Amino acid sequence: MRDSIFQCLSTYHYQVVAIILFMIGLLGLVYSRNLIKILISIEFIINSINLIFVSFATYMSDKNYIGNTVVIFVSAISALVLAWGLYLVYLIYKQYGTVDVNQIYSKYKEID
Amino acid sequence: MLINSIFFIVYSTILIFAAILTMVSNKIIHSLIWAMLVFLMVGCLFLLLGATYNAVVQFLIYVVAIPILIGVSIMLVKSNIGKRKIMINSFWKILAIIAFVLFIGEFLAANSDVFNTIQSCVVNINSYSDLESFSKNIFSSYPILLLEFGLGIVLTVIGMSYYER
Repeated sequence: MRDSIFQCLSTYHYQVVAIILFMIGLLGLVYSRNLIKILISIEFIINSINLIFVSFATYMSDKNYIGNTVVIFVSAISALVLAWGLYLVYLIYKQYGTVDVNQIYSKYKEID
Repeated sequence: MLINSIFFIVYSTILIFAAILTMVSNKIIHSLIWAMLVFLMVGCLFLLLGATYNAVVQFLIYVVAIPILIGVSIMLVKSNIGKRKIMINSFWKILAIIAFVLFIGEFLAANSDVFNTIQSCVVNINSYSDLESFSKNIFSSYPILLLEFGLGIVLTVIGMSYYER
């Protein structure tokens, strides 16, 4: 039987939180209509993966600096990806006048 | 270990509720504020795991840099924001008082014995031998400045939300 959370924290507990955050990010990615909210959902997913990396590095490995280093690189690259994504959102807004995905698609169909 | 578990439950609960509120908020600027809270709680979980340097990187990138980037993008995609006649924030008197108080606090922290007293109370690590001691030194040497910097960022985002409204 697994120990109570008040007796010992393990990587299992952090995994549960990370998976919940991942699912919320995935639902936001699928169901959001705003492009900026979609980018925030992608950041949630990346944060959940970072949390899993750090928990594994802390509890399951002797060389815990590898997981921490990977997380730093992932953070930097995700910030870069977000900056490019926001630039694309701005270009889409200049082209179509909205950041709503449905309206962008309907206007794209009209033009096409 | 009991303290760690309680902190884990508090951080996780705030994280999950803030993530849900991020997705269900109608206004995108409110989503951004809740997302800031989510990133902050992930950084606190990093601190709880002992990954201090990762927590510092998380705070600097996700809690400071990325919300400013998204906030500027939100202001760019609002087409009517440049057409307002009054460009000044209507809450500028309250924000000016808060900014003055913060300025006085920072002046006291940087120029009097208050800073040295606080520095002598906490554990001071002088060696920069590894990343962990470096990040511990940052947290133990500059608590007031970091706190004021975070407060300034939070006030900036709140003012941005008032401006957007």
